[in-house]
Amino acid sequence: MKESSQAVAWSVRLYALLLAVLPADFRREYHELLLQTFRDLCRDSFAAHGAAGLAAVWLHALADLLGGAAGEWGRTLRSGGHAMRRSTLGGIVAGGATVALILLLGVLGRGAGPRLPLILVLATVALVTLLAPLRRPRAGLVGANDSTSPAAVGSSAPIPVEPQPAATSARRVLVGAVSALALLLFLLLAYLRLTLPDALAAGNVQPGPRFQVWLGLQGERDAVLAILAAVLGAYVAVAVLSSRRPTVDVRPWLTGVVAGAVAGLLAGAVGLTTDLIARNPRPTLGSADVLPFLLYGAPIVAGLLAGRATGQAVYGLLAGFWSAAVFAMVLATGGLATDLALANRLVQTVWDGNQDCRAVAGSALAACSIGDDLDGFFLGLLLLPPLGLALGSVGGLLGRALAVAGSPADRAAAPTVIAPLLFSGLLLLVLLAQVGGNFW
Amino acid sequence: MARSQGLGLTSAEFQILLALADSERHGYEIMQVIARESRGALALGPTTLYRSIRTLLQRGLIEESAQRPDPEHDDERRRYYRLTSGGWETAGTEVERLRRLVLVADSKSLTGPAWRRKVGES
Repeated sequence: MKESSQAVAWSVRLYALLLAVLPADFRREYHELLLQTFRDLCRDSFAAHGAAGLAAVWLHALADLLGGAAGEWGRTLRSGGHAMRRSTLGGIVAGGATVALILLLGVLGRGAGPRLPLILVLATVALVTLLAPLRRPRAGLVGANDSTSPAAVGSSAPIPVEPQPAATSARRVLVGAVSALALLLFLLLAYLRLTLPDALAAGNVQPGPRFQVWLGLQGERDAVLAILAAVLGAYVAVAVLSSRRPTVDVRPWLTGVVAGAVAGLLAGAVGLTTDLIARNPRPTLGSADVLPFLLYGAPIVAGLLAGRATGQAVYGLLAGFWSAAVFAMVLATGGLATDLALANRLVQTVWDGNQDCRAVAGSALAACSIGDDLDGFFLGLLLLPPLGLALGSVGGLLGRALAVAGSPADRAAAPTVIAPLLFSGLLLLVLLAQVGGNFW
Repeated sequence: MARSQGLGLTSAEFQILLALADSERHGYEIMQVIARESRGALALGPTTLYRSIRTLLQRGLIEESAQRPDPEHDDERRRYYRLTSGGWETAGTEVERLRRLVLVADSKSLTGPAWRRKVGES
């Protein structure tokens, strides 16, 4: 009897683990019942036929579980319905457009040196991040539209499904792991950068050039890697934030996209006008160029609007990120198109005093100036989103003070994303210090 | 599992309705009854059983029974199910449909001694 109970108990434990292949919704509701039924099956079969009976139960249960899991996952995907297809399509379009743009810039800017692979890595991260805010929580009704309840019977009562938070535990683990890896990378680089030069000098060791690059012993490379870590941290923070939604019906990322697009188009229009009529250096409004006002203003305004609408400062951060990201994309796209379409005109105006392209004229000046602009586009796409993150948080704080919505419960929920935001902020500080110190 | 053309019931769902036609039952008991009544031809696994039960619950053909057995004789965590009026109607309609099919099959010598003779000849 003891042997029987042990065999059954181990079988049930193993079966409980295997139930992980079922979708969470189904598992939540039927996990205990499935285990109980399987336990009954094992117990009776073992009592009647011994180990052979238990093996037969296992064979049947495994096939049943795998087949059921496949069907249940199909059902889960189908019940996501129209919203899932639409969000997937939107995510593919947005992600594909971004990646295409960045890859295009990368191909055109082959001479950009070490920044090119950096951009390509960021393109992958950006793709994943872009998909996150387009996800919608599963809400609505199943049953009436469920293909497992045919309309022929007409007796299916719609069953309301509570909106589920989009962030799953697996997603949180993934985000946490990426954040930890980025932090470890940065700490390792910082440690090596601080200690290795002296240690190598003391030991009279001269590492090979490739080692020097990866150890950050060649000037700007460590800054580049620090920037990568900072940008990665910013994207991770945005991914975490995007996987949640404010309890009020507001889309902070959309606020940021609109603000960034408007500011980007405005900046592009002003820039194009001055490019066509002026010579280098560009004219300024008083003592300041108009571009920084738009560049810094858009994320702050977007952050303010999002913070005001949600009552949570963290969503200002999300709006700021998207505002700056879209601003950079609009400027890069518009700038590249302008450069290519109006090169003949530009070599006679604003490019004609380009200090980076001296002693050249005509097509050589055009090529040099386009390369110069591409460099600026790279830096913009690379650095503006994290900068917008910081500016958006300022706007978010202002907006929170002026909040028209958002209950105390909403605000209480905000600290759950504090850790990645702190991490991102830390890396942003490092980025600014590196940029200010030795990158430019 | 393929659905029959009549009322969109799978074979498992129809068998569950039949199993509940004479008594309220819990999940494992439903499995046992189906295996016995189908003479072992249909042995449901736990996943198929509860997927089918969920579908029947959503379609309003069965419901959970509020009654619980005496805890001394059974596990009180078990859930017991019974047919609703919609379940009775659907099960009866499906049985009637099958009965008509059998009559058609009878008229074409696809049942009984006539069928066995034909199979034996071939």
